[in-house]
Amino acid sequence: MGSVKTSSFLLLASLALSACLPRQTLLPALGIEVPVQRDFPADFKVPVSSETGQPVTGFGGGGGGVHRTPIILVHGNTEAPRFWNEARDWFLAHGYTHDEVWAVGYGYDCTCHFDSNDGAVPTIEAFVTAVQDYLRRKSGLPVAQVNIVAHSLGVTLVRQWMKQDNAWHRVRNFVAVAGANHGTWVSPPDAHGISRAGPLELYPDSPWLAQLNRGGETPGATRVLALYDGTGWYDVFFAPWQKDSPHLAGATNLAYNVEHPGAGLGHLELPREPQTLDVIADFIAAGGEPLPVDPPRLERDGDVVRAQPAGALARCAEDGEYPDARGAGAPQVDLQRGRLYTCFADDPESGLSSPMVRYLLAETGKTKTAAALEVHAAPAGGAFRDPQRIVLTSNEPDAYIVYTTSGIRPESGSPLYRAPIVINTGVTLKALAIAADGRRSAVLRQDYRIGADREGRP
Amino acid sequence: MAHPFTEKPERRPRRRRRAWAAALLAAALPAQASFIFFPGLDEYAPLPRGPYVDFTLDYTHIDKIYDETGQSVDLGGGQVPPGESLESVLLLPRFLWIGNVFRDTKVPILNTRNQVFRLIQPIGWQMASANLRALDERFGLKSRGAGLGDTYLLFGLYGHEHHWGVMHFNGLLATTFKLPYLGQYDEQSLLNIGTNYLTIAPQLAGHAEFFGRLFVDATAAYQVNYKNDKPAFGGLYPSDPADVYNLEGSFGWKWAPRFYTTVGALFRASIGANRYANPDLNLVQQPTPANPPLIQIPGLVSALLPVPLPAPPNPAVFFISPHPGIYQDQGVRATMLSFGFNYVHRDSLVFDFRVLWPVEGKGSFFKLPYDTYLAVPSLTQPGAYERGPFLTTVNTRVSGVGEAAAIPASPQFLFRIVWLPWAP
Repeated sequence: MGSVKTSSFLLLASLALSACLPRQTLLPALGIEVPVQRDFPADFKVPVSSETGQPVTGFGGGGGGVHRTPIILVHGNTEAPRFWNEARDWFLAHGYTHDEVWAVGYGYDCTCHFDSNDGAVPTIEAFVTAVQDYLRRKSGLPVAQVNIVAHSLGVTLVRQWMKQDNAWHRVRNFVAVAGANHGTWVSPPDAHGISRAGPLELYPDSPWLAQLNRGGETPGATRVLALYDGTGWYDVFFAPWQKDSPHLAGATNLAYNVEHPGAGLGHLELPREPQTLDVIADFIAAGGEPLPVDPPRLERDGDVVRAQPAGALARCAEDGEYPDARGAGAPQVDLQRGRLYTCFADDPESGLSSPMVRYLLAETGKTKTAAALEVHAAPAGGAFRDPQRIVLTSNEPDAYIVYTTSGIRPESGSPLYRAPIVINTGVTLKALAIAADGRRSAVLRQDYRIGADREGRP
Repeated sequence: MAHPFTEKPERRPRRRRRAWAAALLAAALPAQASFIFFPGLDEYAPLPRGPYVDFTLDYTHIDKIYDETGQSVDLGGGQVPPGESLESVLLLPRFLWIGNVFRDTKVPILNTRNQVFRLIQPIGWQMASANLRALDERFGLKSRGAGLGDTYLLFGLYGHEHHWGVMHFNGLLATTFKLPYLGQYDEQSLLNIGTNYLTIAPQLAGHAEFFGRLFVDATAAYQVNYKNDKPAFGGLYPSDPADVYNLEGSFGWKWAPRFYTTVGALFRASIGANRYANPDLNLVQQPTPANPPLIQIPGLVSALLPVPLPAPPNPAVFFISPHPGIYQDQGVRATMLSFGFNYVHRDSLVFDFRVLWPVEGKGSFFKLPYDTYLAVPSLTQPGAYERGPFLTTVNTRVSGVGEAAAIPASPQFLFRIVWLPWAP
């Protein structure tokens, strides 16, 4: 009897142990491959996750052809592509093909490790590029743009990707569901532990959110729908005092539970209930489809910047603000000397646009210098236990500095450095100084590891 | 019918005659039933995946219990002055894991539904007040216990969350195993942290939310209790605890994202009777005189011996012993209201204060016959006595004890700290 008792206790204890250990730890230790959702066609080059080093999870492809701009679904914190399985079925049932509905997994798929916006940006870049490349190759179409439907952390992640990688022109419609665009009360500013990066990014008034929203919340020609609770009660992440945190200036904002009393959709329901999927699909459809034309471009001629080809509009904003497609554009914009412009070309007919480009013309009378332009970062890259505030400086005060934290090479349209960059997780910072006379510094690269000791151990 | 324990003071002499043992045996392990089923907000909600750790401090000052008629009666039963009590302090470390081991597999049903695992390993300290301890010592027994409790394991499966307008609902199917292997258990003690018997309790629960602010939790569970092969405290722990069904409902209102209050009700009742095999509760000092100092003896004797005694030796002394047999009570029942207050300090730290207030109950009392023998002077040991002629067998009324039998009529206070080790 005693042995029976002991055996049953050990059995139950073993079950408990196996249930509690993360599968990512337990199963490989047992020589078992961790089951994941990776439903891609064999000829799709699955990109590698910037966080795990493993091929990303997700679904998409598999036939049906590309008849409209494909949709990429981006999940929220600690979720996985399976979050969208029912939404995928809904889109398929409403005429979309397998080639037109994709989902990407980022992060660790484990609540033992919160995901980080900055940490996952390279994964989004790699996946969008892979989808475009695959569909171009398969269909022969340009597939210049994708639609993105993102949820929760996925919203700020995609926004950060578009900003860091100057990628607004690649996103035709962006549906931002319940994103913490202005912070969430569940993210404490004194977050600690392995999961602190995401909360430190998303607490209200955080420096990270300030950089994300700086210059405009909906730049470029991307059509944006912000869909959220709005009551302060159904979505637990947005309390009554911050019920409009997901709101985005310049977007079509829909506080769904306010507009539809009695709907009562919670945080996890907002992006994937049939009634909101209807709204999402209608919004995307209203944006039309790009004509089979080349995207517009900007051409500078002295103090004038023109949009090409004919019919395209040049849209510019000054002093570090981002232009958007809401105002009346013009075929050309006269640039004033000494002012910094951020511009893009917009083709209202096709809905295609160009990347952001910055222009800074030297003030009249300023002499050119032959000195090499330099950009510096302090502190320099390395391993740090705590988040860091990175100050960028140039040896020429009149030069402007652009940077990326996604590892991509910065260009003039990359984020403009205007305040110290707060880094909460491991990133590769690249910075570039550009002078008014067109001289450019060498690209500065600094690697930061946060939450690690000096030897780099986490 | 008014119970003797609640009658007016002038009737105490009669009460003593009837309930000599019940008084000192009235005890309970009050928290044990309730930490299978924590009342409270969001207990059965589909919580986010991940591990949770919480610590509940459970304090109960028991000075009243329910008798078999539903009357609330003092501990001590008149054998000791009123005001006697039991103190129970239990620390309930709880580990909760929610996730899906089968996600992204082809295993039907399980691959789309989260599983829950819960481990509770109590640590406790319980002690009776001085007069009760002194009384129990006359039976060679103890009234204190400290150490680990039984191990509670729960395995469950969440249902999908359904949504109808402003209402969200989900179900939970779970089974709790109470494993008695680690629990402190002393056969000589009234108070044990462990129970010495296995319990398996399948449970069906549901959680609903309305308007994002009103929460309703409800559960029904059937508690299958296995036999206790070593019933403690002279056999007044049930050797065959009855099965029990549990019902619980709780309403919560979110006043603000950080503040909740709850009110609920818990009901549990045994299915049938607790059984007691061959209780051996007996006085240590025997033969026992008919007069003080043993306070209960006059009552005992008059209860035992309603007929005229034969001329006893002088002083009159007797041997008593419980009559072997299997006895049973009339089942137990308890109804409590719960009032709770939750404060969400941050998403990794939640405080929960809760009071369980008994409103009705029925405890375990049963008739235990004692065989009575006249004590006669020993022929071999001068001054000693030997068991003499059998006089009679008389029913006494005793109280079942332990988690399965005693129903406290005193409030229970719980303070819980929930910690999410993975949350920032």
